[in-house]
Amino acid sequence: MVYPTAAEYSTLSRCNDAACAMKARNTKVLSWVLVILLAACDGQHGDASAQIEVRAMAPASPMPLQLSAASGTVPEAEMVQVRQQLAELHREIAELRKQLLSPRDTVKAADSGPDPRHDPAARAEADRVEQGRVAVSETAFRTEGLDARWSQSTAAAMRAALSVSDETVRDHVRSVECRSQTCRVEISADAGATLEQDMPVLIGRLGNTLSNVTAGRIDQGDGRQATVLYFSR
Amino acid sequence: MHSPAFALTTQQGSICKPYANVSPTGLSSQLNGIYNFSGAAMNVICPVVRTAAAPAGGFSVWVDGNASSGTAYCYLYSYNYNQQFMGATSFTATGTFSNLLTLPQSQVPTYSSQAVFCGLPNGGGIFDVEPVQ
Repeated sequence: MVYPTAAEYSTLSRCNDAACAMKARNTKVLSWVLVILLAACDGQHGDASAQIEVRAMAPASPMPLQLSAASGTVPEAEMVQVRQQLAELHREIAELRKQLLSPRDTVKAADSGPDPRHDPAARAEADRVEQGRVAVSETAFRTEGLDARWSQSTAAAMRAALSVSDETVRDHVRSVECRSQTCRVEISADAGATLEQDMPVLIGRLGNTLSNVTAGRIDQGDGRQATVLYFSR
Repeated sequence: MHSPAFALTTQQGSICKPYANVSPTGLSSQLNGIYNFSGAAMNVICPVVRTAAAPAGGFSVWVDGNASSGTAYCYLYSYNYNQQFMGATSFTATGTFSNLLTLPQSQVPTYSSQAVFCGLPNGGGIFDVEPVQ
């Protein structure tokens, strides 16, 4: 935070006539306006970089020393000048606020809508988008041509990879289907958290032939959700 | 190792940790990355710092490293805000590598998080992980 310095006030104290006294009062008022405005700006942006910016800008402001150096004008004229400088200050502070909007705030603004973690309507919308995403993968798989040779050999490799998974996973594999580019593996909700833990190892065993995986969840008929993995080459 | 078309949020390889409950013994953080000197293959996980929404062309991460004594494989994983697995993409590499992993935008929704998982042969290392954003 920036406050008028003792040196600035000692400059004011060198005036002796009435006009100078009036000017000193105006200048002092203006100084505190500046202090208040800068405090408001500081309060909105509490990070260290914001404070550094404010400190750097303050000496460049044409106050209050320039006012005291321009003594000899009538008080009304000074008041006009003060108003103009106040308007200029407002403009500068508005500009500062724009500059001080941190990249984090910018990203957050760009990346956020209603938060599905806290907003039920946003959660319902996120679920709808997710169901649409899985439906696209399912449709693409069902309309994919069949390469019998590739399908058989890849499905065998898939089953082999699953057979050395944790028993909690391998005992709950509901189906394995391969077509010409993609294999679809459905695993029951009973695999639970073990599936998540085992996932990198399971996927790693297939990485040489099937380097992309899309995951989704579908209703498995008992109110719970099975995991569906689409492995593609 | 490559000419970025976009800004990269480079993370030095020592950000990577042993995957799951594996002992870190033999995983060496060095000034030029992290290396597996355990005498056997080791899996590591490297957090990915995503600073913006994924662009229409997908979210990409460069992974730079070395696998001079075998084959390394790396995956870019994505999980949604509900900790559900969304998808992954991978590469395998030998020798010194600099490979790009890209997930489609649909697998990198708002509030999702991403990580790079790599299996490193003995002597292999990760120099850095660089999200493109």
